[in-house]
Amino acid sequence: MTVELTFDFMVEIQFLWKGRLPMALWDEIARQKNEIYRSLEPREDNPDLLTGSKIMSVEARRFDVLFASDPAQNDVADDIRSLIVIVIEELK
Amino acid sequence: MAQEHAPSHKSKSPLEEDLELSNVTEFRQNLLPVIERMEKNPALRLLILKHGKPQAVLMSARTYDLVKKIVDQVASQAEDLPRQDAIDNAYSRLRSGRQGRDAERPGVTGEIPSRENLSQKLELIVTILGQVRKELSSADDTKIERVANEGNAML
Repeated sequence: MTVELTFDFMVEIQFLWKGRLPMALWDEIARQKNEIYRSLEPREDNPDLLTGSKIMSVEARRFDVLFASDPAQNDVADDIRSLIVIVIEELK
Repeated sequence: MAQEHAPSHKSKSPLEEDLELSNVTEFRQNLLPVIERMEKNPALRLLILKHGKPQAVLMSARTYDLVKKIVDQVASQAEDLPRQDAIDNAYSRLRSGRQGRDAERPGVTGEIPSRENLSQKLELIVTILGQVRKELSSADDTKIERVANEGNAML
């Protein structure tokens, strides 16, 4: 199984334009993408999606990262699963 | 040296060109003519390549100002949103990616109503219901039937 990681464009703006999120967090998410994908599950508020969140720490900062995967967009033939970073919130 | 943007990077627009320079001296020598070209054509963008891979983009200050204006506007609108709305919007964007894939499947039209589309339809329904209520208050059966028929036709 290959997990294809993407970021919602509003999250990309935070990383690549506003510079508010450290690139180390991007790298950490990429490192853990398989484990994160496996932890996702359907929930009542979005039953058609797999969702989950994880508190991640980098550079002495903590972030609440919300993930989702849309099974309708998975490439089953090539065993490619989508994982998208929906929202990142820094915890004070 | 500069060349038309490679198709592997999706855009084939001649307004995007690749620029691969082997060293700083070559970069310095080419920078002035490139800037002069951008003065003549502010829409020109150059992708700076390193070992064949895009690493940076050189664009006119006017184009940069435009990009900055657009991205800042989008970002500021998003920042004003409550957290739950921001999350819901992101989910909507995720779901909107289904359209292309569904359209490729046999027996599926690929048409998934957008939030904007649904909102327009709801507004239409509310308008029609308002008209029906008005007609009901005047108790004219012929008018009620006409409004109901018009409403069905509009939906």
